[in-house]
Amino acid sequence: MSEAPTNSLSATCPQCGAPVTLPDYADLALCPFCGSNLRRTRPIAFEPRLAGTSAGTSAGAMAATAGAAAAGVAPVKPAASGSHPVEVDEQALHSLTCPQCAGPLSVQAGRRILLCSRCGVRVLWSGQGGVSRWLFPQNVSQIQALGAAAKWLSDYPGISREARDVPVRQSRLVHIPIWEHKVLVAGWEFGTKLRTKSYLASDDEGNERLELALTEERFEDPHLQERRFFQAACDLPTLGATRPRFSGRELLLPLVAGEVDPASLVMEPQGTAAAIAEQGRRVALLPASGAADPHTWIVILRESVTLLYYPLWLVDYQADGHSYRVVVNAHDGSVNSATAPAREGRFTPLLGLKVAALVVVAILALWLGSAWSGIRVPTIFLAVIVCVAAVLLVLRSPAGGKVEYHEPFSS
Amino acid sequence: MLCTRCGIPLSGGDEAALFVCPGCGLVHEVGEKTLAPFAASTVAASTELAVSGSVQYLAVWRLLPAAMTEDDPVWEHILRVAAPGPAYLYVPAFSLARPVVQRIGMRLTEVQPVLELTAGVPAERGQRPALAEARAEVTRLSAAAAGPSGDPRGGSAPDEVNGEQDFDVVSPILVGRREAWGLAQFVYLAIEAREIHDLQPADLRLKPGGEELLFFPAVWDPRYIHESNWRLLLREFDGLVA
Repeated sequence: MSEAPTNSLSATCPQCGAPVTLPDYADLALCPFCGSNLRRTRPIAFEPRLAGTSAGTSAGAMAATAGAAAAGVAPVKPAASGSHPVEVDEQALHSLTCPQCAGPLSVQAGRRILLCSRCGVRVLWSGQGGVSRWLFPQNVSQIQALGAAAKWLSDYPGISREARDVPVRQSRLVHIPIWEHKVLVAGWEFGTKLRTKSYLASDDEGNERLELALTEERFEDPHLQERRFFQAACDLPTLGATRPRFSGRELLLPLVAGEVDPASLVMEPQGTAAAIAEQGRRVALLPASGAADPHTWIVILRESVTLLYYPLWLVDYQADGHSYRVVVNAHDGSVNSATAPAREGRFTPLLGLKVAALVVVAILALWLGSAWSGIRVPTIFLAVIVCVAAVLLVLRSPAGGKVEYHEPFSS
Repeated sequence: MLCTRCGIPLSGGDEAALFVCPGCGLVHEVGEKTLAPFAASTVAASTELAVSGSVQYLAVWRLLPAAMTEDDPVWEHILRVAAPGPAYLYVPAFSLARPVVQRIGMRLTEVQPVLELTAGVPAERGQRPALAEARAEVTRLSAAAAGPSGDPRGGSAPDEVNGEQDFDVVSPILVGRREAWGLAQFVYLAIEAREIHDLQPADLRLKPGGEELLFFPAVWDPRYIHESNWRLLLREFDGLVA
């Protein structure tokens, strides 16, 4: 797990002179004193290739580039043939201003097009390296997170009595990065699908019964839709967490340094946007119809890669001489993942009774199916479902003296 | 972003692919480092029917393919309809909702309307003379049925049908030039899928040629379900309502 960012930029606000810190994870900072939106710029110097290149040209080019970058507009490289651009180590903070009237621009609305409230000019805004960063708002306080952890420990089945009453006091807020690859795809899928159809069948005695049969049906599915691919940009199992469930359509905020809790650990993303885009493209072009061998024509019309930062509370506690953790979702207050000492071993008399009851139900269903041919198919389905439930019950029971919970349908 | 010709701030929301100058009507594409301007045209209304409602202008790409699949009966039929002029493919640029792109794109491509073009982008909303207006509550219900508003981050929401209230006179341009060619194949396959029973998408050979952006006059009317509720004011669309 990477610790606090080391490449923070501490500088003064160019508008009011107040000290401002811009951590490496953020593109923008909000000046706490004057409210200006500030962005990091890396000035570009021009190293002379030929002897005799004037210093004035380099300085002028640097100023022009930095000014353009500060305005959110892509800098235009000078046509000087005797120099080449080199990114220098120095970094500076520049306020986000309108290139037309120098009025302050705000990215609070979180849009690609920023509207100058003073002169009405629209400015195209691009994030760091073409990847915009967004934040799930933190809605759960530390006390609420501790309460959620304590409630989980008291309610979840199979936890040892000692752990149920253990005081949970230590917690830490982390923001985990998650890659989002969003594409707009258009295309068609043609082919045949196997569908289950029911029909009435009658025997020699005139008794009617419902039968199911598989039939092949032709389909033509048009697609013009957004497809999203998410992947955790950090090692979640090390944290003891799983990727939280979300659709990507939630209300998000642009990641601005001044708006993240300073005590929070914002984890650095692993992987590159190019690798995620390649993986996302592969997934997006997969047929969605579920047909065995469809003819597909799908194209990607537009795509974007985004980093989403999700807040989680890590609540740690000690029980039976071991450390355990409950991860509480700081966005919606649910328990994301948790571990606790188990009350007993895997096979308990109660578990045995439950499994035996399920097996009896399955046998009964099979017997009913064999006795009445009209309900044979539904009873076989029921027996299979009950057997699967019995197996899941055994697998989900505490094993190895430890209860482990992960939010369902997350990855 | 300022107009490269007259210096007026360009209009266009966060989801727009192209930006229009409200002063001179020049359309601007965002390039690598600069804005690339080009001219669009407005289609004159050709219907002689009195259609009720406010006239709005819908951005549509008209594409001239350089080459199509040989011996394609669907394209041959379109060529016959368009004769003696060239045959075009039409792609709605004002919406990314699938039914809108598919229905209006198909209808325009199949009909190959005769268009009277004027350079520039319309500025004022026209009011068509009519004996009755579409009932307001019907309009509201249809818009509500189309679903909630878009992505909070400003991204496009393709599954949502754009209602009348989404823009004023001129529609936003949500589809760029390159995307229009991708959608042209989508529209063409929609036509082919209806005509050919055992279609193989791999058969399609569509090579990009020229393209132009047009603004079609239309009235939003919930009765015109086959054109996604948009009644195009062209004589070729003087058909029956649903």
